Amino acid sequence: MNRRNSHTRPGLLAWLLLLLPATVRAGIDAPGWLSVEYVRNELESYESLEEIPAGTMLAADAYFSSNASSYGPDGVLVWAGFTTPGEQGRRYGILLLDIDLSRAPLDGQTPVPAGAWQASFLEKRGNEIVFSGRAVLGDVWVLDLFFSHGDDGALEADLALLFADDGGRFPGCRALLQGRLESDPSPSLLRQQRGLPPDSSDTVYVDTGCSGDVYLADDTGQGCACGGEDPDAGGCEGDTGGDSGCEGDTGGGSGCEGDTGGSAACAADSGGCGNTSGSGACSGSSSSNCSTAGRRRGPWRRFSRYLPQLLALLVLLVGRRRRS
Amino acid sequence: MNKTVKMILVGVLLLAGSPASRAGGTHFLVEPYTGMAFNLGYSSENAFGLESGAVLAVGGKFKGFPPRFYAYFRASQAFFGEDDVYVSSRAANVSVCREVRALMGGVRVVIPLWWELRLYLEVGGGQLFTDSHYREPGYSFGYSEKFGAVELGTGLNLRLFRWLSLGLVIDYTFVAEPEHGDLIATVLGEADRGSQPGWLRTVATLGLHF
Repeated sequence: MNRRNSHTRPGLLAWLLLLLPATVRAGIDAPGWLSVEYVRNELESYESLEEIPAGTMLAADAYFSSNASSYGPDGVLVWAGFTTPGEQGRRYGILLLDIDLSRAPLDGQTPVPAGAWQASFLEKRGNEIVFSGRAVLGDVWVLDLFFSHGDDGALEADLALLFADDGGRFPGCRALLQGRLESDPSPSLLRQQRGLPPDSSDTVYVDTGCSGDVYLADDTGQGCACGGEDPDAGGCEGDTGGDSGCEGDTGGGSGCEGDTGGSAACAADSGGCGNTSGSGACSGSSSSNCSTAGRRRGPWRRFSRYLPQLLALLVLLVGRRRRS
Repeated sequence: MNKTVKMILVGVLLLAGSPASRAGGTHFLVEPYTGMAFNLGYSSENAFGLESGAVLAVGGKFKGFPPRFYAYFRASQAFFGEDDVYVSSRAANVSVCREVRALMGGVRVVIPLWWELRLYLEVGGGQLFTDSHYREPGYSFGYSEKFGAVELGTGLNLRLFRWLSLGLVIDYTFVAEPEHGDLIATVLGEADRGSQPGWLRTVATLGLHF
């Protein structure tokens, strides 16, 4: 294994950055899996998903990372990798799917709008790229989402995608059909672990990270409720006590109109030997054992005493010499 | 040498050598250090990096009780450079680059052993900020993460002068919150998907006491 260490960043800047408040936010950071029907055509592409012939069902390891998403903390980058079938040597397929969850309908039937997701597929034989393309046809559906202000959210989604190379470097296409993505833990498991009611397919639970409150919204955006006590029947809006607008709420109301129930809804929520030279000189059972004075006499003591000043002078002289 | 760094160094040396600092026992410590950091959590990478940082500490001892107690604050940065990793499962070469910055605080106990030799014991906690980058022919990605972490350390320290000590510290830092995994570790096909990140470091310290 070769390794190269690069130390090109200005250290001072790094230290200053350390002093800044942390801005890293993420929704999901979890492994998972993908099951998908894989189709390869090395000669031509298809005009529609309907004309794609049946392929091979595959299972793949996946990972869900909001930190790596180009959409920021409200998005998620899904990486999935699997060995593809074929007789032309062992090939490895890599799917990269980036979804803006704040813009994703959550009913499981309406696809995520174009522009709110991007996908690419890469097929390699060792280090050789045998296919690389972007999604030219298809859709992504978010079935279930458990979004977290931290990184313990979860996602379940479907996909059907056709990939082709716009640049024409790699002829043919690849299709990933009947795809099902699920993080581990899954949204339903997280709900179960947190004592939340099971998903009724029309409700999304969003952990706002604000005092443990949970924001609930239906997928139509027409109603929501917040955990806690809310004397205001109007729901979350206008409630005080937190960025989320959910703090202190309980119960029910139906405010928050216009919220989509997605992550964006709550995205903003977001002695002794005092005269000695140290304990080493005091290593007896009491402070009376201090004996440093006896060791530091004569020229050595004088040298030691003025060594800091001598070093300071040396540093200054070296600095001046370099400058000249 | 950077002018700012030079001025800080001159200031610290003058402060350490000032009559005031020699008048009483030392209670303050500025301890820059540098050394090696080992990446333990991401097994496929097997990387070691270079770490540098500084400790600020304040403390003292109880009368009649030899050990000294310090409250410390540490800021550090570890570069793991760029690792070229061979992924045997798919015969591919990839590149991983990680950087870890830490802001930690805790308690250090200094136990006198023999002559001016002393034993350090440390326990602390704080935040780790990591930057990770992955690259392989065809695609790349990067991400930043923040972890709550705990560090446990031990070391030996030699008090050469009243104002100066040299030391060697070994420290283990682990993430103290549940982690499901790590994206790069998963892409590399690690068995535990990088779900147990940890760092070991061995550093040489220069202690300035005043």
